[in-house]
Amino acid sequence: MQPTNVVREAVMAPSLAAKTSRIGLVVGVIGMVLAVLLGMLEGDHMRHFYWAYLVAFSFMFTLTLGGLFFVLIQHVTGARWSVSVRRMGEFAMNTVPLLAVMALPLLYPLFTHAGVEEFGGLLWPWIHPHGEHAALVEFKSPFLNVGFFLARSTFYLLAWWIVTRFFLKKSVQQDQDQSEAHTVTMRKLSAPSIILFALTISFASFDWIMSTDPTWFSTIFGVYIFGGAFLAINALLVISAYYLRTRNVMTEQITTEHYHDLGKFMTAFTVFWAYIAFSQFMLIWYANIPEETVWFQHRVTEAWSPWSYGLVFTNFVIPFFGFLSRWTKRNPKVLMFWAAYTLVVHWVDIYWLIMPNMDAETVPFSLVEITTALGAFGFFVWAYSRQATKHSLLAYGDPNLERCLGHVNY
Amino acid sequence: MKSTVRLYTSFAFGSLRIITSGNRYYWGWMLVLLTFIGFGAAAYISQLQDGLITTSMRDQVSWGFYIGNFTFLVGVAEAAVTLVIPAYFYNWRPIKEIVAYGILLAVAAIICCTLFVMVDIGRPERFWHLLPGFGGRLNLPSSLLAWDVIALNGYVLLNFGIVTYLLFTMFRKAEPNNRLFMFMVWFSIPAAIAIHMVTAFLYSGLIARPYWNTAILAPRFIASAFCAGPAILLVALQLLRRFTSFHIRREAIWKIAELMAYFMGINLFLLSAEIFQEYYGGKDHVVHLHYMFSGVDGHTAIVPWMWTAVICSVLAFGMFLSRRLRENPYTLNIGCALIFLGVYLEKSMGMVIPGMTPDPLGEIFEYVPSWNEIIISIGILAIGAMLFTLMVKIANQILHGQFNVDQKPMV
Repeated sequence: MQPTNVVREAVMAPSLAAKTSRIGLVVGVIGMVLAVLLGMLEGDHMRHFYWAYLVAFSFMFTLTLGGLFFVLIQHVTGARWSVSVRRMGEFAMNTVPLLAVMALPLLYPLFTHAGVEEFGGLLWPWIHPHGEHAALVEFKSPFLNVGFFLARSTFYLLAWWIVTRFFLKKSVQQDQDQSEAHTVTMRKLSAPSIILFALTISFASFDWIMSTDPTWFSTIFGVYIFGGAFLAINALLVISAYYLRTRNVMTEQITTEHYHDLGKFMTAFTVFWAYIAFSQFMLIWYANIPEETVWFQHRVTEAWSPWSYGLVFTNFVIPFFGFLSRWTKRNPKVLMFWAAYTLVVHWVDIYWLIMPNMDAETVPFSLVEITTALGAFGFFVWAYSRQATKHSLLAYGDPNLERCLGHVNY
Repeated sequence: MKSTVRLYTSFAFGSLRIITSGNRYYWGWMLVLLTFIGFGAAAYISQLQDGLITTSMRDQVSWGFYIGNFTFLVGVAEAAVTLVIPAYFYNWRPIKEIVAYGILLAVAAIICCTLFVMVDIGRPERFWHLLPGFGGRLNLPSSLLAWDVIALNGYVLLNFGIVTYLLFTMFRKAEPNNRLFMFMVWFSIPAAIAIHMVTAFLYSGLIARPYWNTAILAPRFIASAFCAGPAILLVALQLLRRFTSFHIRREAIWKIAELMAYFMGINLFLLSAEIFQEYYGGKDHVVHLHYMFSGVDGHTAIVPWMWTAVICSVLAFGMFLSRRLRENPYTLNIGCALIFLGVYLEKSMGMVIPGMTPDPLGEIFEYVPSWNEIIISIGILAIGAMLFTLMVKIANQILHGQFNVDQKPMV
């Protein structure tokens, strides 16, 4: 790293941020309204809508939590290269309040099952155990019951809100006073925050996603979700950086070197995701125990097998070779393409995790999924970009800014 | 051709000269190791004569102390990666200066692994069954054991290749062929992950032993390996610094300690995920966890060891979380000892024995290693320590330019 002399000043783009957030809000509202209408038209007591909504919600949850981890890992390691892109990670993690609001519609499936008794409820079948696995699900009722589920969910959201607020507030304060003490405080608190992050993302994944099939369990599920989340946030940061730079914002602060490093993260986490996915699959396939294989059995039915086998290529083989070259990582336009691709296939991955639990025989993919995904992503973009109307896009008070700007990959 | 032969001869004789000379500490250390090796060899002869009945392994618990040590040492071998990545990926000089020692540790550890497998299978000629083309079969691709054999042997050859190439090039005072060298270095990273992954899958695939049937086993192996392996390395490096002219920068030690802290946290997190899922799954195999931590039907031999392992790991993590404590040589070494003990107990005993107790028929055979097993294991570990010492002694002189093509070794 070569320190350079830079002017420490805020990088504001309020009109661009306001415009982007307005677009996000419009897409979010239109998407969600359409999704609700389409869900009502299906005549299945909104079952399909809620499952698609859970997919969209989980996608958003991974972006927010990915942002939190990105910020924490930069602090805990004392990373210097990432100062110029860290604020965007802070904006992403600070969408927890939106996540909490987006969680509210999910309360409905917790308390109603009229018309969908045969499925055990609208969304999570453990709410009204039925059928041959009822006894096993009943056994889990001390953990999987509405009261405790709500308490845990509230705890996750509250914990994330406190942590994300703290780190954003400190970072913004540092813009004002440029005190190095904030860096020291954030570094000290990032380690315990990572422990809290690891526990909460795992349990939130178990609760919100894995328990859509309450008979199945995987020790590695939380790690799998984490891998996807971190991959997704890096993709989002690349897209954001490209979006800003092509509009003449942050052109000096975000360099090819930063693209390169974000690209390296994406390469590494593409492999990490594949490693975790393979660990999960290989063991279950090899051991061939009915209680575990049934989960994959639902994913290799005639309807779902193209998705399952396709994931190997779409989420590993293709992006791995896509990201591998140094040229790709240093070419903003090309990297931007792969980042957008990564976000799309990350959504596909979450869809594949959740939807076969709703219906293993058919792939219920329709406009409901597209509109819920667009709606949730639109809201996310709104909450993410509107923060740039108030705060600088650059953490210009960070003492490592010079080193970040002078950072060179060898 | 003649000059090449002369070069190799001078390298071999020079190396021989280095390892056959040393101060009284060196010879004292060698004597201690030779004594352990002697006792180990005598115990092994007794095992060869009387069979595996000299061990405590029985039908119910067919893997014991040997396989436990094997599993632990696979982790130690993997520790080299924690140095290779910062050294060659991030080109970080303080670690680059010591990376060769990490690779040598990996070589010594894998040789010990092979020896543990050899004593575990009883009669050594049973290796014959693995040799394709000589009446044996490797049973590829269906046998995970075969994959493990390939991964482990490939890893030891690769690491031996890397370190000998590096040292021999330095001995010749030549520049290494960067393309070849970096290819080997890069390839050693997935190879290191592979040895642990395949070993973990070897356990996971045994469906009659549901305790191991967990997808998190392979990442847990890797996380614990990245704690225990560097712990040994840190202590060894400090000993080297104390007793030889070897120089190691404090930054290198601190960086390794920092990396260990991350992996200690991950290791504990994965362990807690495992415990949660055992209870969440609501299956009968939670009994193995009960056996580990509270005992089953009065069988509690392993319980104190397991709690010791957990307490050591938690304490070490707590210590390493504090930058001040992990940068203080005393607390650093205490932390290293704690994490070593924690992971050793967890991997050598806590990993293997609870997986076999109770057995698939529900029988409980409380396994406690026999003295013969313990002595053989100490003998094998002494062989590893001796190999490491000898290799380090040669490497040290080459790395410090005291032994090369123009200069005879300092003795």
